[in-house]
Amino acid sequence: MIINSIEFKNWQGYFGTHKFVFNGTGERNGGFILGDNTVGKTAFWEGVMFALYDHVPRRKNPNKFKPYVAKDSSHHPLMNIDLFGKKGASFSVTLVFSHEGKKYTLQRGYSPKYDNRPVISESDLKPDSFLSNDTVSGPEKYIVDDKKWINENILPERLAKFFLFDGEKLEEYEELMEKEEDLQLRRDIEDIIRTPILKEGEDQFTRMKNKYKSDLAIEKTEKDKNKKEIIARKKLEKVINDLREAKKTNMEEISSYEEKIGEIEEWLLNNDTVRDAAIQLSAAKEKQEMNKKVIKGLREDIGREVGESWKIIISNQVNSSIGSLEEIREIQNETIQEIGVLKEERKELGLRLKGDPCKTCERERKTPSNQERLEIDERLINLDEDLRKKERNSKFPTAEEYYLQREALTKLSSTKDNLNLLLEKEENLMTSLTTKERIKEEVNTANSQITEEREAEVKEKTTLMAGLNEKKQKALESKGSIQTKLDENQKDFDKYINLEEIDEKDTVIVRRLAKSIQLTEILSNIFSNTLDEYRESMRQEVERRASSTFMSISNNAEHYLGLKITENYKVSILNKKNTLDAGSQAQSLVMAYSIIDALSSCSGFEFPMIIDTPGRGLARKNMDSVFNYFTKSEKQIIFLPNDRELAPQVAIDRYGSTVASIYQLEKIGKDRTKLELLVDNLVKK
Amino acid sequence: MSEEKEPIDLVFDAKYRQLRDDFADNYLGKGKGSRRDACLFALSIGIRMNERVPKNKWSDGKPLSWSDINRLQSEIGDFGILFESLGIKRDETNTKTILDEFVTGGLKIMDNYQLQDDGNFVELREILPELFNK
Repeated sequence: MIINSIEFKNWQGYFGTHKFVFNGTGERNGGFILGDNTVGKTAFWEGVMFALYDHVPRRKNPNKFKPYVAKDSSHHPLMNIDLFGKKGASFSVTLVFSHEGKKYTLQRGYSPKYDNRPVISESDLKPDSFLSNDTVSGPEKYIVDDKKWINENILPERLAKFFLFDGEKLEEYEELMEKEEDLQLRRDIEDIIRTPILKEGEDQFTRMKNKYKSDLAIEKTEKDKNKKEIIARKKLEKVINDLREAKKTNMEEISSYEEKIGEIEEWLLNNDTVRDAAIQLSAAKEKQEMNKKVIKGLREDIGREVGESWKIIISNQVNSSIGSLEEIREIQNETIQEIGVLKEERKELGLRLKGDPCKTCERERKTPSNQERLEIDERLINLDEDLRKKERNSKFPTAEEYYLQREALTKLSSTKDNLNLLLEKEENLMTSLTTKERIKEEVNTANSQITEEREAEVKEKTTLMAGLNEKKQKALESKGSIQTKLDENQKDFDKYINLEEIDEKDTVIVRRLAKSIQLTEILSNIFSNTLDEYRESMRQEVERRASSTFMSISNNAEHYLGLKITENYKVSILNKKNTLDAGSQAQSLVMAYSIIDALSSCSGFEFPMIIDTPGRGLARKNMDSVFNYFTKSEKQIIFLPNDRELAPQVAIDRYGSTVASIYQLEKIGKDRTKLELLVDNLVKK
Repeated sequence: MSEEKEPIDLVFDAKYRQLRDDFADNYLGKGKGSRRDACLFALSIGIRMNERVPKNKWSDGKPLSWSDINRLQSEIGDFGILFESLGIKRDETNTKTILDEFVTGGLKIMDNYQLQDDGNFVELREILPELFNK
């Protein structure tokens, strides 16, 4: 399946009609949908889920689904909350896609059941959905059981998690893959690499073999006319039949419990505002505590910054004072040097006056004439004057004064020169204070929904569900013991059949049955062996592809050889020493991406990867590698990064030419989503 | 609050008492030194902005003491040297008086921008842009 376009009508924050198109020119079919948190990225992702499977699992409780209608946004209804209580309110998601060369339109939506009644609950709505094959006309155009068709032809819902991928849950995927012996995961992975066909073949032949064995036992004992054996065989056959019956009843019992539990869960989902409110209240109180700690911490941080800020604030004045002091000191040193030079000159003039030889070169000198004496005397007077002045100026500051002033000013100086951190902390504080108000509202809303009457009703249903769960658990235990008994008796029954003893003396029927048993045994084994071989080859292929992806997107690839996948699908990182490496959290997340990519590539399912908050927990470099790698892959990829993960201009510059379209989501008044097409490489009609 | 003991007590205009206390409580905790630190912050703002409020323009309330000149010198530093270097202390005005007038000047600016309230430090960027985004 390749998504060509998706249109939302009154879907969550998408009030009115909004369309995303990915039908690009050339091979381009991927895209980016950019936007900050809570602007409608997850709603996009959930829209695809809803169109395909008619429901949206709750993010924090995937076993429950989001309600179609609700007054309060805290319940995350699928229909835009502005339409709550309005007559004629409807919502839908329309997916246009191509699959195996054909074009399809899938509309999933709900419209009002009654024209004149305001829509306030799900009972006021009726389904308004269809799936059409647009490449044909006539009665074949509309596919009757669309959900079944989608599960069988597009992607089973259970496997959707490998394609509709939530970065917020990357850690869960990572944990899942690091677990040994996770049967559910193994089953999912085996489903995704399509082993069930082989498994079904093996089961089919095993069932046939058992039937032939039973027929042969009857034939043999009847032929021998050994009454005692006939009675024993019949008795054993009865026991086996009874056990099979008990197994059937037990399974029906389990199904019945599951159905009843499902009904209660459904009731709780639709009516249990109290339990939801209680859960919300408890979650909100937890958040409140956390928020309180964060605010306290931030106030302490701000306090520390404020406490040290006075030095930064006067740093300009202090630094200029230190500068002036140093300048004075420098001038003082220069003056002292000049005094030395003047004194030397004075001495030399004294010698000249006396007619003494030069002190430096010891050259003899004539006694100066009267004129010369006058000139020397004059120069000496000037020198003395200059020296007195300079000596007076050079005394201050004294060394002690300089030291004390330097010390005092240094004590007032700061090594930092800005208050950016103070503002940063204050900004965080303001965000936390806004969060505090929001949580307070959540607590008030939750409190207002908890009434005693409803609480009692919910309690009753919850108790009933607990009892049913207990009974289901017991039935599951019985299932195990019935199966053990069945296997033991079946083993006893098999004693009536010894294929090696069958020869020409036996009847044609007996011999034919024996042949059939042998044949079904061989076929069952062939399927079983093929299954093992296929499973192993697929494991190797997934490992190869995942390793290749991992090495392409890891920012630490030079330390690794790739990934190792065990037969139970436990995944580890293999380092250059060929040993398993614990890896960092970020590397484990990259590993999860790699495995998901490899599984979807090996699956044979043609389905886009839609990745919400792709950079969650990833380092910037890894995140860029993820975008680079996946935008170049042949699969259709739609990324839904937030502003911190990918800035709009960066997305346009780097990926504008490789994807079909880039959209930017924004929140406008009344909590509604608006979309803007930033990059348009779309096919023009 | 202790009484003013001229000439060593450092004081500020009493009309800023509430502001000083609110600022200290909100950001510097209720510890003993928090009020002094709030005044130190005000002093730095006053010096940086060269905002002095002469004592004759103070309110009629009894000035409030926040430290004394000797303690400030030993615990924080000698502002007299800074004032001399900046040419502020030219005449007979002593360091204590300059400090008092600068602290009150700083508090006046803090009051103008309501810095004691959450979210208003951002105003510092308006009045002292050179201290941000370096």
